[in-house]
Amino acid sequence: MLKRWLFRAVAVLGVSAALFLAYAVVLKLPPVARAVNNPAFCAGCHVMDQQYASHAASSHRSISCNDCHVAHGFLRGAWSEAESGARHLAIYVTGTTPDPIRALNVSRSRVQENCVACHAATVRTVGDTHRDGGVYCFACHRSTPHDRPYKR
Amino acid sequence: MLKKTRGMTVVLVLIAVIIVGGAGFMVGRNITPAAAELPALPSLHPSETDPAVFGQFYPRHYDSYQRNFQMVKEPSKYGGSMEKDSHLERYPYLRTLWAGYAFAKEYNEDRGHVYTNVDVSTIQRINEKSPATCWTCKSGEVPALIAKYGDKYYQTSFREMEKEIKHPVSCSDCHDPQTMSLRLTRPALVEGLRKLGHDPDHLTRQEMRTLVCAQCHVEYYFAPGTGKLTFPWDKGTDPEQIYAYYQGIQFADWDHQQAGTRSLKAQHPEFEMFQGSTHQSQGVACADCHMPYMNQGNSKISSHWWTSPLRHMEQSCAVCHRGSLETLKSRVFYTQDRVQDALNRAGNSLADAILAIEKTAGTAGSDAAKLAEARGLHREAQFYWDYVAAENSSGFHNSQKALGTLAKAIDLAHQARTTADQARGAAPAKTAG
Repeated sequence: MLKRWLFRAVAVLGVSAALFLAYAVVLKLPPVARAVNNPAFCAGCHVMDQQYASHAASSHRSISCNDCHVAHGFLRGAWSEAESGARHLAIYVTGTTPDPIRALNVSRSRVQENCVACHAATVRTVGDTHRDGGVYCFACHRSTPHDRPYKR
Repeated sequence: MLKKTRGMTVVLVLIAVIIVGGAGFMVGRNITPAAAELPALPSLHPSETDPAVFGQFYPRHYDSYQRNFQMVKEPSKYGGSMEKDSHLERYPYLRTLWAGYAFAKEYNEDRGHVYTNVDVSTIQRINEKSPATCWTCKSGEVPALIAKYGDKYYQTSFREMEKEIKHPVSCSDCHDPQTMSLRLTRPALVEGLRKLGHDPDHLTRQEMRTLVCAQCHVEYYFAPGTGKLTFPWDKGTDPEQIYAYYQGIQFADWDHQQAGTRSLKAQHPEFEMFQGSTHQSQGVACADCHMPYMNQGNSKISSHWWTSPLRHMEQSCAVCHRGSLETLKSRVFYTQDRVQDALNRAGNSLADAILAIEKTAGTAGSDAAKLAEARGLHREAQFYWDYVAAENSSGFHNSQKALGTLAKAIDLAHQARTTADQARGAAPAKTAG
């Protein structure tokens, strides 16, 4: 009896892990990656219009929304994409889009990590400004990759 | 049947191999950027104070520190970094306000941190009676001297201590020579922070980027008896709170020669003025504007050229505030012009009050109680005026607090003058209005 449950639990975990791996691989397939990493995909929801337009004219226009907003790394990236995607879908379906849209703390930390990852050479003396209760890069560089959200 | 199952198994295994293999490939791919850590630099001797020694390992920071030698006024309108540029000549009312006090002898616009040891030892305010305490913010040797002499440091003479001074304000004043992390080296601030309810052992990096400056850019006094350098923050850092504290301990810096008032002298309360300002309330630190990150080749360093942010507005202002630098600069002057105007009005009102009090004191038969009241008003008014006058931003660090404090100074100065006039019967007593 116990053996059977153990077998089932391992099977469920194994299948979940396999599905997650499969999903992560699919995300990286060129046609899929091209689609979800295109800023136009994010601007499919028109609440992103302003960020989309200002990003397209910014110094960061050659990289995608996901390069900053999704964790780097194959598995963490897939996980954070699933997490954000699920939340955005839920908000979209229930029609509870906040105004103005503000980044969650988890999102802020993720963006900060990505700032430092790409600009590691630039900040090699300064270090991660957010360590030990410091400020995020974008506390000052707040209009660099795209404008701040509309405030009505 | 058996064949079919075997075929299915082969397909499933193939899919699994593709997924796991693909995943393994993606995970294995080195997508982390090349580590861009600094080479491990040797830690310096814990008691190192020579900026040039730090400079051997941190040449770019040292280069920016060298810029502190520059002496220019532009583009500042009211400050600048100049040698012996007399405030007493520029604002004639100052000699009246400080009659009988050392500040009436010599008081100049300050210049860079690299000149601190030279400037303090050549100013006429220092005499043979001055204590070593005046060195506290002027040299990197001081923390070791305080450790060496203990409370005797504050009772040694300035000239005696001068023999042990080698450098001006130095790297070691804010950095641990072994780890280069920020640290507090001046005991008065550590005690002051406790008075404000902060734990000096648990400060965030962003707090430290203000507090290393607050070791010196603050109001202070020498405790009567011990001569110990102390920050008057027991009730808070606002001008009213500091004044209430001085009232509580009946402290006075000197007796005003003309007015006979037990007077107070405020000293550069930049940290206190900044508290509650727009920038401070948004979490901005002194270093964010005064030590902005600057590109040096392919990396950034925090500038160690302590000067007006107007000299590097691109890095200090424009990172947050997009738009024309000319517009931003005109906003700075919009504030400073108004604060400077109110400051001069307060100063002239105070000079008038002092003359009225002097006249009353010299008039036989004047009302002693009213005269004492006028002196009390003068004491308070002048401290509020000085809180803004001695603060080095012409109000920019906190325009609301600067103007509010000057409004009180002007009102109290007028009350002092009227009360003094009444005391000798030269003005009608105040009627209910």
